[in-house]
Amino acid sequence: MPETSISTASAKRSEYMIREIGQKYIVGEPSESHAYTVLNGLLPLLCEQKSKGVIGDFDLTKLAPYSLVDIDKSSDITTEIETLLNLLVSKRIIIPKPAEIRRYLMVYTDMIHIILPICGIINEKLNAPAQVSLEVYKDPEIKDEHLVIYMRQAVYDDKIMNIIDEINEECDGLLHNKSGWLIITTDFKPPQSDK
Amino acid sequence: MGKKYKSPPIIESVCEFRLPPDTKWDLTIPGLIFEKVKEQFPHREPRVFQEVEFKQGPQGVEQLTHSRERILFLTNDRNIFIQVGHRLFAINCLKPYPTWNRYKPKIEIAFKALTDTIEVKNLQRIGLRYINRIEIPEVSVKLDDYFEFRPFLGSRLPKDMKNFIVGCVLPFISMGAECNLQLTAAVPEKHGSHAFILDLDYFPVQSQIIPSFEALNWVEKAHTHIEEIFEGCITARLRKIFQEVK
Repeated sequence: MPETSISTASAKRSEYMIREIGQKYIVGEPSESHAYTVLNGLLPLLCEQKSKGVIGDFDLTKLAPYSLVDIDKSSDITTEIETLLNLLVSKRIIIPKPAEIRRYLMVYTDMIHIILPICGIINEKLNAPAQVSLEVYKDPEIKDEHLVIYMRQAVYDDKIMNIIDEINEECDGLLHNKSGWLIITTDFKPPQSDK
Repeated sequence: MGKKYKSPPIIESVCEFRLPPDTKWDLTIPGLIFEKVKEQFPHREPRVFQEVEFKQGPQGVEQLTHSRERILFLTNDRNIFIQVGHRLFAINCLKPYPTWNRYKPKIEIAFKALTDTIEVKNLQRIGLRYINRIEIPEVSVKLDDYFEFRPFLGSRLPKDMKNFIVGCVLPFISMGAECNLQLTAAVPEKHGSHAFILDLDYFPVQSQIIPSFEALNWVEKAHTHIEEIFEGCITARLRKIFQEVK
């Protein structure tokens, strides 16, 4: 098996969490399938790495000392959300109202794992500096709410709408069959203060 | 009896039971359990959880991402709910935490419904977990003032930390259990505040088999230990923020 090629801080953290999870869930003898279900806060990191195409190189031999088998998903909901928010902030994505995001993701739990890959796609497609802001949009007329990612620039590029269309198209697959919804757009405002 | 707080920092508590692979399980079981708990947990809804699985296949390690559905049975205020998954049974309690005296009876009702529905001799795993998000409304926070469990930086290291994660496993040999204790920085709800996640996860060590008739006693003892550990992690100044009720 090839040695891992991941050298980023997030990958280091993934390894740490794998060990943590491994110690937590050592169960019986290894099964024939050697199935590992990796969970908790680790999943957003793995999804991000997968979207970058590095996950295939992940070194599973690091798990071997723990004879990990049938690790199932942790039953809590909040840890994954907290990990996600931490990662988003570390990537300079602003979250003006974290309480609203927490509340939304508590209900639409399967949305947790697509936000980071979507932010990765936005980052790749943008060729000019932009502020990315994750918010909850509440429709004042009908009882509906969804996530919205606003891209804001100090000076708006003429091609911004084309870029947003491309991003939305690429993110469609990630949103397929999800219980919640997310829109990527701009409100043509200048970057907002996160204070 | 532990201390009581007007503003406890608990954002989620989970009491989890995992059933051994030889437990008979089929798709009718969640419905049968619901019939027994519907007075206390009248709302039923599915939740989709996404999981990543690594599998050793003939072509090497394969990575699969798939969605799994669990059924949730929720109380009227939706604050406490039962999660029923494949050989997984958990009772979650969200903020605002209603005290152990109100949460524990819900665990008992749920567990009784489980054991009345299927035969459970032993449990593969029990876990009691408390996740606390601690908000300190100060622009600059000196961890020593609030935490008795914190990262330590030697005298030759810079004192400013942008982010941190600190953890340890505490053994409880008489219980055959361990507590995974972790403190990390978190995203605060309010600007100008600092937030931290204090996560206490108490579970039996690998070799410890818990007979199902012992499960609720085990949970009660686990809760006592978790309370002691929590109190051991915080200072009087943090207790003041939580507003102790005497």
